[in-house]
Amino acid sequence: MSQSFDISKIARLARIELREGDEARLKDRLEKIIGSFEALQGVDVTGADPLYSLAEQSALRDDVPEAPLEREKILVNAPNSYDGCYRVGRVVRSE
Amino acid sequence: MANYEAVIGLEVHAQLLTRGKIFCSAPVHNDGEPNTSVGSVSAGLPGSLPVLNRHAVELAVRAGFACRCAINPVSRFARKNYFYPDLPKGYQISQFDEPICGEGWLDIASDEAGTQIRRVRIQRIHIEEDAGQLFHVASSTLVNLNRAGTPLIEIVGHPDLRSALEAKNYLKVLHSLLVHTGVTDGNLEQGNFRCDANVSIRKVGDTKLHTRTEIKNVNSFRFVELAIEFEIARQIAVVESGGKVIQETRGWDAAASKTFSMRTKEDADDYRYFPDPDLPPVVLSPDWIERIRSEVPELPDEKKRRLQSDMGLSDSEAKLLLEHRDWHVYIDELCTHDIGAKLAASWVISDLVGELNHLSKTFAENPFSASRMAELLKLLQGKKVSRRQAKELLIWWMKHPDASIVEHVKNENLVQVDDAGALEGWVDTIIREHPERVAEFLSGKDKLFAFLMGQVMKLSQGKANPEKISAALKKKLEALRP
Amino acid sequence: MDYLHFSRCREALEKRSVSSVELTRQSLDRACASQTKYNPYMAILEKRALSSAAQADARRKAGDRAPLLGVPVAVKDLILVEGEKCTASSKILENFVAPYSATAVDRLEAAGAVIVSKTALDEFGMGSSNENSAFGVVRNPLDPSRAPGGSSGGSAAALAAGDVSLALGTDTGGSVRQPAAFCGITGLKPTYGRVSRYGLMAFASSLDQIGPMARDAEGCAALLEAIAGFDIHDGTSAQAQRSSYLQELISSRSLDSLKGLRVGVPQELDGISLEPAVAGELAALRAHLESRGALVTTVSLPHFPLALPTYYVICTSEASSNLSRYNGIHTGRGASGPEELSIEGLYSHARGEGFGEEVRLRVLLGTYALSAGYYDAYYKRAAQVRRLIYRDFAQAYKGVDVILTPTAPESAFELGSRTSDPLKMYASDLCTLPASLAGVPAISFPTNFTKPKLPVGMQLMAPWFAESKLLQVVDTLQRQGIGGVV
Repeated sequence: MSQSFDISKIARLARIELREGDEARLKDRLEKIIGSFEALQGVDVTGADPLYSLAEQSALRDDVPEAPLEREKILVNAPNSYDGCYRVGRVVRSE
Repeated sequence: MANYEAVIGLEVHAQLLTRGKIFCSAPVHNDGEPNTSVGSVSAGLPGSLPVLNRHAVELAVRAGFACRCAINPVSRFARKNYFYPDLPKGYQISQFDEPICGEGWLDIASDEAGTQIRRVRIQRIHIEEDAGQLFHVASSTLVNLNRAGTPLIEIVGHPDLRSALEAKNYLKVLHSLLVHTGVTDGNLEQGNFRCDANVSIRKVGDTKLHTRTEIKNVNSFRFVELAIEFEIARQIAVVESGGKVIQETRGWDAAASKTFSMRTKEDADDYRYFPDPDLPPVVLSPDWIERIRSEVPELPDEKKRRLQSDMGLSDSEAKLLLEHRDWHVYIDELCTHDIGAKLAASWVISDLVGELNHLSKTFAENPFSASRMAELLKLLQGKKVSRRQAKELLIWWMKHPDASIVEHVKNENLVQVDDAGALEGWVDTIIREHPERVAEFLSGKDKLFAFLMGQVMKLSQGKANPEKISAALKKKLEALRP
Repeated sequence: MDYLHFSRCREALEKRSVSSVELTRQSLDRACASQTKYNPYMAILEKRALSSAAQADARRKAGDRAPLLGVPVAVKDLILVEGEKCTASSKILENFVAPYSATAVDRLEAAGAVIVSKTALDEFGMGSSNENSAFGVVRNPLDPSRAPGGSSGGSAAALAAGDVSLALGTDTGGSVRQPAAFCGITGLKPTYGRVSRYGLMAFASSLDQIGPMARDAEGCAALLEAIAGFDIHDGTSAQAQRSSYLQELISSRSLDSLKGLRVGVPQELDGISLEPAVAGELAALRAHLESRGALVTTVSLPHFPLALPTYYVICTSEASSNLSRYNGIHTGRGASGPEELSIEGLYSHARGEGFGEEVRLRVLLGTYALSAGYYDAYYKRAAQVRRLIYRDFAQAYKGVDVILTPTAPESAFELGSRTSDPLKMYASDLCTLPASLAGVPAISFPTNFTKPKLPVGMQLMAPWFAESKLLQVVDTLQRQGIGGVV
């Protein structure tokens, strides 16, 4: 499995631009760690339901709306805002 | 076209009628200023956590009952990971392989007249959150998260539909079901009910599914029908000319009446679905499921049958009534004023609505409260006026809406004359004045009865009680037979 | 003034021998001094702290005697405190101001605690040495050439330096316990769901917990009592009834919590190479427990050795999704530079620049593990092995009350000595990972039977929601002088 680790494809999927020398440095470490994952393949997991979360009960909320957060509080940390909205360069995909 | 068939499957997103968002307690947006209906979760703020809105679950299950779906007692949320500015968390919380509802069905008409009914299958219904909205301004894109986190259900149909007309009918039936059961308000203009269509073609007799295109962002039933029709023809043309249909997303250009390519599916993201660790599984107890079932409002076809029997309505009248909740409410109110259901229903549907249409008024512009209208209907019900008279009174009343109809009837002396003496007097007069017609009637020309009736009514200036006149005329004519 | 122990702070405040404002001022001064020496802080909150302290003094005057009233507390900079910066020790959040407070923080402040500082951490909680902060390494006050442990290295160092007697850390795979061990203090990872995660920047959602850190078990109990309990804002928050941890601890002192205590030591420890000092302390503690009437036996946690790959598949997968929100568009520093970027470029550039190397590594790993075709082999399979680890604990607890291991296989290593080999760094967590995966509560406390040169921490694990048991056992040991604590 580790042979097929295409770091640029994964970096694109993760939206993380690789830096100078990243590819060389990270690829090595990544392959080592992925190699360590192999140990999981040999385990007998018959009858073992995957444990995704230790929380068993779903706490549900009543349908009673509360006051929303003030817009200022939301936008104060946006890198770029305009007229009460987050602002981005023009989006290429039209949807 | 003769040797191809279309294979169409629809995915419908409907906004659930909750007051709060699905995973946070901000109110469902109401077209206010941008970003004024956003909570920590819908803003994707660090440290925020989703907590599920109970009513969203109930409405989703209700939708499942409306579509005769299997209800899954345990369902789970999954994260659909992708990056887009309308999605601040970088993932959408949805359901993947454990949705809340399983297989179901709808009965739809395959033809315009609605006589050929076919059952088509629904694959599943799942719950998910809506994303925010983007606006393009000059060279920037602005993001408004008011809509982010609004609860949606996605109803996924099997590719059982075979024509654009069937697709349109499917949407209409589904829309009606979901609106009537209070799951959604289904406002297409506001985007509360959205449809994506998957379209492919194959040779008749072929059972495989071939490459399909997805048509998105069509916001009316009529346009969906047109877009699918166009797409079917387009695909056939491609194949006939030796080409291959490409898997892609297409939009509908209403002005040009054609579908156009938006992006190919090759570019589609790998969504890396995994169960959302912030949300434990949704567990529906049998009691809870039963309670939701009992709260499901009557389904439209059951309701239509009931209206027909209770109110003596024809199929088309009942259909009209189902589509116009405000008429139904008004009829119910008339009944609380002791007007019989059958009379109230037929009066509203034919006479009242008819007159309003004639005056180019909407039902909301009806100037008469149910209690006032009941005054007129009481006169009709009590046979103080005839149906024809009542209609004329309505016409007059519409022009003088502030008048008291009871007063008017009294003043104009319009009350039907019931008095036997007067009635017989009029009948005798007409028999005397038209001896040839009477003779012709007695010799077998039954149609002349209506003529004689009309003469009596004219003589009485419309005040005669038609039933009584009819009885009296009949009696006197029979007495004249040799 | 002895700041080292919560109980003495509390006593001094109650006796009015010091006011909260005075105590807080002293704490702030010490923090400033520590900052130049050890770099444990992202922020020292002078204004907020003095204001809270004044309010606490007023409350005390009015007769309030809450245990945490007026006591200075340090909070890890991964937990939101409204109006203050919260950086996760990451460049991407350099200027992020918290729009709301975490539930744990609200509860602390409602109890009258005085938040004096935000402590540094391994970026986004990813690391075991606090060398992964984007704002410089944190040094171990007991030996500044060494790591304080991570990722709650800042909180541990603040305690070790004596700047505060109480601190909040977070534990995902050992990030409260291992730095507690390296710095010679006490740290508890509660049962998963015991403390609300609302307002804790998520690293791995199914593993994260906020944990109390203090000089001793009593301090941990006081903190836990204030912050534990169901929270409607956290869907994974446990509805199980919470205990009055501090009250119970104090009232349990009349009982002998060691006599008859059934302690299990996993035989799988044989497969882990322990530093001699650590091995020595473990053996000595066993002997001590037995001498006090505890029954020490061997247990088996057969899937113990699989904890490392299981943990890293799960935590990196979840992290890769949780960190998607740091994108330079809604949250986080935007992409720099004048070039025109596509939408994809905006995201990638901001995140590539803003995330440190360990974070980039783990996000890439997690993205890979969840990517098409790999889900079954990695995430799902790891979740299945996690089930087996969970069952191992459930089985073991049928025969023992607590499970004993060292907290880490070694004591504080030298700064820079592990950074080249990721697996070696991760191995520091070998003993702490299983409790995180199973969700059981676990506590680390220092022992010094063999007078080790550097602090050594021992770990006790209890069944789900049995934090009280852990706190009481460690409290007993500490009152017997173990670890030189009291």
